Amino acid sequence: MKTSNTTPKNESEKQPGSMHDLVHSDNLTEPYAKACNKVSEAVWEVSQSFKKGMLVPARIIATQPLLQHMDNAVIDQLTNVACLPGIVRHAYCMADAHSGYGFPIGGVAAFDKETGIISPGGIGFDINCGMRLVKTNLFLKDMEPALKHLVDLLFKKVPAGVGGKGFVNVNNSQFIEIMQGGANWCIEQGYGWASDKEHMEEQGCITDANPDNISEKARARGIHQLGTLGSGNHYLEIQVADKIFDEKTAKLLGIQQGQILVMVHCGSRGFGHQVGSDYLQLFEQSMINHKITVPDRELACAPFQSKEGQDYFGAMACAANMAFANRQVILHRIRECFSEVFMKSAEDLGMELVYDVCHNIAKIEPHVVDGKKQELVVHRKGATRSFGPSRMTGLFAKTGQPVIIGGSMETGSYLLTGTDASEHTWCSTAHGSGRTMSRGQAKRMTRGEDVQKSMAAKGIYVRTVSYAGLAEEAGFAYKDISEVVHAMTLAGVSKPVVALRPIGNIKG
Amino acid sequence: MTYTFLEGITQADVAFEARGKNEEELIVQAGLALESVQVELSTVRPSINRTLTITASTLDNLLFKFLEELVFLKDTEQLVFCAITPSIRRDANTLILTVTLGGELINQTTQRLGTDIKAVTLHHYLVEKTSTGWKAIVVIDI
Repeated sequence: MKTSNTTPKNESEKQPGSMHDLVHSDNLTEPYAKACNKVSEAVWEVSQSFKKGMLVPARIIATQPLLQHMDNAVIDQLTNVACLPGIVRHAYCMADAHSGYGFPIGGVAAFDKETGIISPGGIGFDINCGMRLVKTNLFLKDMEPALKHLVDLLFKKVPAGVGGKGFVNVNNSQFIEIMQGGANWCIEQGYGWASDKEHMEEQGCITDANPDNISEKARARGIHQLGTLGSGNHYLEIQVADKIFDEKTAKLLGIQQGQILVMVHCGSRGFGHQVGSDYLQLFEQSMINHKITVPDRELACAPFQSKEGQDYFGAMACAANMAFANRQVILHRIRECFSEVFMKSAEDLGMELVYDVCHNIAKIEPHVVDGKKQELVVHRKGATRSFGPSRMTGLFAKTGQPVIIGGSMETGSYLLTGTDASEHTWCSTAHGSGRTMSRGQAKRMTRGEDVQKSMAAKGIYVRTVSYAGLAEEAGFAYKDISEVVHAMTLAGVSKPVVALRPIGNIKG
Repeated sequence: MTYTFLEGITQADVAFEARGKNEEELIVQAGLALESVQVELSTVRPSINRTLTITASTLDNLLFKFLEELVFLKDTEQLVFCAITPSIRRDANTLILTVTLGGELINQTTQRLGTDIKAVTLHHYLVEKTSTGWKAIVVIDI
């Protein structure tokens, strides 16, 4: 990595990122590493001259060790994002970045609302995949005798794994109400408390949803999946507040050392995946009419103000609302299970939602560009909004927006808060720890049964539908989450409040 | 002819290469590769049949649509498949795939399950003729 501002001299000879190059690497190699110029301790810039067609420079938020261990494809994909029409200021990626489709995972980009685009590749197939953190008034000593029973019950009551039929049966008209109402629909039906929605991004409902833009295939894939975790890196985890970094903020959020919390990571399931697939294919065709060319088919996009762009935005909002609803009914199930095991009501167990964040979504947000306030279409794919206190209301005007960073199931997670200084990344921070190796490599290094045993030795009781999936999610397959959190703190975009240690986990 | 899982294309998801000596065999191998991500095929019995007809103008579109149908049937009918019997015919510029699938309902007790597939992606997607038949590279989002 250099600290001077130089770039590859002859780009036409060394143009990175050909579509069918197998560009994944374990470390950044030339010309990628050489192109990353240090801006500050945790901010690196790839200049606009790095690749033909870049409209803005790209910026990577990372410490030097994290940057060095990123794969070349991250830089390739990020600089491809910098080529998209209407992009404003920079294409960003966060410290947990790894290569994805179209955008890298950890990618953030904002587009002019009038002249820019919207791209499913900047949001991900799992629209509004997100994290939810719930607190309890229990402590480790209360949980230890009940842990196995509770995890077994949650494993039975919250469907996980391949396929997975949800526990909430809805008809077509109710599913339309879910697309429009998100978590609000659930709360109205008794799957939650009125206060829950004050603790969610967008209060658990994106208002621009248009069910007319949803295909029959998407509806059919999603209608039976309300209340399912899915698989891959999705999980439900019982955690203990292990280390408090910011006593004042933790106290305001009602969290103290040793307290038991529950974290959920899941999204819009097959419904969102189908919406993403439908519009990616539509945009591939419509780009011809709009005379847009992109450097990667997975970056297919439409002008935000075009009919196709607006149709996708309305469909994406439906999927985002389904994801809010999915996490809401799962919260309801969690409260029921705790209540059964501890023989107290969820209210008596203090099971309030800390917050619910989206990390795969596009939103219209006001930001200051060249001194003027402007509405932008902010894409976050594997990145979390991190509004500081000045953008929040109520309790969160004192703390900033809670940010939930899910780590590997072996190594723990973090609760952070957003900062007012995060404006320089469009108020965005990381979303997890990010993978360091492929799923295949992880499976060659360990067996799921061995992971389960080693987790048990560390005091983590895990239930899984798939031992192969468990091996893929082993802790060693992920980056050091503390280093990711440290990088985001150095960049000033979020600050750590609590480190959370897993003690029970359900994995699909 | 068979399928193999590839390293070096994706860190978080799964990539595979399928090969067939003809177009039908490519469909079979790619379909089995996709299913094997979700379930160990030897633990699935072909007790339920489904027949699909899919049309496209090119083989790469035809294969893509077929793989998407497998994901769709997993989510909508909770079906995984271990047997794939295709036939492809041409009508003017259209390829018509008729495929019979044999499988069973997802069962966490009797099957050894893998990872849920979210989507078939266009990332590095490739179908090409080789000296020995056909080859496809497919990346699936999980």
